[in-house]
Amino acid sequence: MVIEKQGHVKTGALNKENLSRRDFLGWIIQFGLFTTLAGMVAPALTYLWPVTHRGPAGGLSDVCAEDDIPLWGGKKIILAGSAMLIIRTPQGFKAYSAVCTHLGCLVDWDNKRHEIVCPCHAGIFDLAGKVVAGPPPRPLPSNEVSVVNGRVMVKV
Amino acid sequence: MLMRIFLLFLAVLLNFCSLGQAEEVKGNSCVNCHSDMWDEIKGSVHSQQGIFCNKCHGGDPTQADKDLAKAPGTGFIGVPDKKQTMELCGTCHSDVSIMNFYGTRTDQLAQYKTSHHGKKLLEEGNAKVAVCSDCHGYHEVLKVSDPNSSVYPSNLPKTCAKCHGNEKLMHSFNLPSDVFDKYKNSVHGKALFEKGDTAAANCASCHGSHGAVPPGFREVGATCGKCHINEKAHFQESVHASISDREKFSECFSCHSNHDIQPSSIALYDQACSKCHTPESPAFQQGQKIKTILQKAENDLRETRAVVKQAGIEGFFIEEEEALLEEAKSKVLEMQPLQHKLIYNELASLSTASDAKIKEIKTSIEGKRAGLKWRKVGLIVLWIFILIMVWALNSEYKKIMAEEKTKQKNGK
Repeated sequence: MVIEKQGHVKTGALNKENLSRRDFLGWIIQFGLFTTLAGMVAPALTYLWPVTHRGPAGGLSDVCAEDDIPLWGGKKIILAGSAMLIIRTPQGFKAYSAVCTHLGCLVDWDNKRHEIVCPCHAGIFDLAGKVVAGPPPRPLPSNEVSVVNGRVMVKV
Repeated sequence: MLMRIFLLFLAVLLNFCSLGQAEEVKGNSCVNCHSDMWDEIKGSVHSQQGIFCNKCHGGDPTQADKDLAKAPGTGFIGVPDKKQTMELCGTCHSDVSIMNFYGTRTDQLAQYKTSHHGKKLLEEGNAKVAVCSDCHGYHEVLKVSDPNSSVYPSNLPKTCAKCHGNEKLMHSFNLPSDVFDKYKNSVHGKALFEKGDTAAANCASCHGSHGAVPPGFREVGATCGKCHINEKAHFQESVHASISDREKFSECFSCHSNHDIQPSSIALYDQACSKCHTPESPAFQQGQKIKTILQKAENDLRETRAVVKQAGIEGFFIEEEEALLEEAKSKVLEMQPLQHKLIYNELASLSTASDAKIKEIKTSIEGKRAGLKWRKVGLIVLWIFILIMVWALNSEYKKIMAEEKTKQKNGK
């Protein structure tokens, strides 16, 4: 076995152990330094990566494509640990918490009557999320919705 | 001298204050003698609209002399009896042209005449029954929306209990006198008195107010169904609906009772079903099956909620699991009104949907726990790596230092 290190060439079984130990140490240090450097460079590269590739900032979440919901259609999604109802109207998209303010059942969208209906205790909310009938004590909380490049974005 | 100035100032101040009252009672000689009653009237909704003593009691308030004010021809009736009270209130409160602008209904007198109170008074001449003033008060009548009004939702049960809690009086009508005590401890009473929920059902919600009557066998479901819409709708599809049509089974009342309704519990499947069904009967067994599935769904949800909570305490991000828990909870809540249908399969499908969500939650949390285990292993590997690095650097440092020393010795 021939190992070249720091301009010296050593052969034979006599120096093999010392050389291997020295080389092993060098290898460990190089690996450690490389790993540490990689750990430092990776976040910097991620930071420099174009922002548009990760979607717009400002707490907006991409929930679906614009065409996924037909006109007067509704879709239930899970966002930020809670169910949300997205409704498409001629005036644009609306997003409401899908959790009924009465006892917490998940509400449904009635696309024929254009109402949000709670299946548990017959609570009814209008297109503005306001209580129309039934026991819910408060309107449904709403979220800001915008459409960016054909994607429906909801602000959480 | 200072004392005289002070007394003079006080006299002027008192005189100034009394000007307001004098203006209000100008031309109303009744208050000259009945000043104590004026204190009751002046805060009422009627006095604010310029309706004073003579509107109800008759007489001529423009006469300063007591005898002239009550003289024949002035319409003076003194204290009106119950029938007169009803008619006097109805004079204005049945007149659309008067009440229209106050947004007040004008059918109260018509309703009263159909009530048990009204029928007893008008048909039997029983003056022990309630008329307008027994509930609304007489001189100090306030708007229903005023929290101090005797008919404000939170005060109404106590107002009714003035008579309906009077054992002697109720005995004369062969009616129970413990309804208020029962109501107070019911789910509705607790919501009203303890939680302050004025939307909770009170006496008038079920019996009506001016047209107060006890709902009959046929009306109970309609009465409860005003608020419990889905329960009523599902009940109509149950096997019991046809029985209630035959008046053998009084919809809600037969299982939930009336004044002392307790929060709904699966224990009703033991207590209420056994009133009509023997434990061996298929109907009772069907009830037990429904009870078991409801109990299981509630227990599973409770247990899963605890699992998610514990995961949160342990430091896991549980947003997704909380969302799934909402879905599972929604399915379990949907089972509550649906159970009135008494159809096992429909409840089972909701229970299956809830179970699927619960399984998803548990799998997700187990996955997170396994991930944590691997991260802990990774941490140990990292620590070993750091220790090896320390050892390697230290060895290299010692070697460099040894070489430096050797060089220095050789140099010397």
